[in-house]
Amino acid sequence: MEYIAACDTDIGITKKNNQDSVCLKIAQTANGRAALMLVCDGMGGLSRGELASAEVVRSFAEWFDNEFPFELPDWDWQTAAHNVISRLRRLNAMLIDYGARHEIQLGTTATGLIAVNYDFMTFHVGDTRIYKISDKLSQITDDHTFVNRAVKMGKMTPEEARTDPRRNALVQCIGVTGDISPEIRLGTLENNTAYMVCSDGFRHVLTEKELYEGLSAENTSTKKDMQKRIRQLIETVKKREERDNITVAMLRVMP
Amino acid sequence: MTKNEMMIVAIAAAVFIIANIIMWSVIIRKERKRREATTPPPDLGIRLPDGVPDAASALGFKLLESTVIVHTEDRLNDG
Repeated sequence: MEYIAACDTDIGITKKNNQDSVCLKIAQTANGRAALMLVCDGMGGLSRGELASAEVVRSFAEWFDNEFPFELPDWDWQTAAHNVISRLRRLNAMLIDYGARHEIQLGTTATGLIAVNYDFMTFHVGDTRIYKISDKLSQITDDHTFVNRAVKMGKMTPEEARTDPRRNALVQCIGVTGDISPEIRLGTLENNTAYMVCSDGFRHVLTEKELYEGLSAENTSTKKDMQKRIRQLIETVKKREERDNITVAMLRVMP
Repeated sequence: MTKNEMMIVAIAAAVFIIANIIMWSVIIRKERKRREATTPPPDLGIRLPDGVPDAASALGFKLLESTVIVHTEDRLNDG
């Protein structure tokens, strides 16, 4: 089996700095393949969002290079999930402490996927999303937003949520919320199925049909094609005058 | 052409020129704003090097892809 993967990030057309960070790593291991894919969206309205997202991405990237190889021989997904939650909580406390010391507020979403051969785990805090792209497009993370919670509680309809002024307000993110409850899911990767992580800046102005068609298996069967298609969609997003930073990472399993 | 008529023509020409200058200034300012809005400043994306230790390589661990993009060199523990 092989992983085909690509990622890209863009400052967008209006912001003065890119507060998103992205990490994509694939390794050959003694027993096959492993991967880490992570997108962090530094909070738009918060100062130093780029520092928050960079710190989370660096932490996971360093873990993948320096600790993960030694964890692999005894790899166990329950332990891995526990460790990821601990890491996210530790980063949350560090960011809150930094913010308090410097009298600023900084925060970030953190949404990623760790794969070991055909098994995977997603971890997620915020409104960055993971989509599964097979014969259809399906969102496999839950947005940690005020409006999504209201919809689930039956206090708001999905239509109202789309136009509600609080639609971007998060109920939890790294660095702002005192206590976080990361969403963890375990699963099995399917052949010719892609998993795509994207910041909200990428998906706001694209329809699900455009996402699915743009990133379908036929259009992203090689790394080069995947990179090209991602860039094309980013350019479409910019033409439609999306105001946020734009970040995408994608991984497909090939038999 | 009388002196008065020449004066009126001169005033009309002056008004025409001033109106044109104002109109083109407004157009140029709007165009500059539009260009600024659609042209991003240079991306300060920093690609970080990987750092797999030798002991990991000895276990058969080898990075095939390593892309880490952040947009600041600052670290939390710097301050």
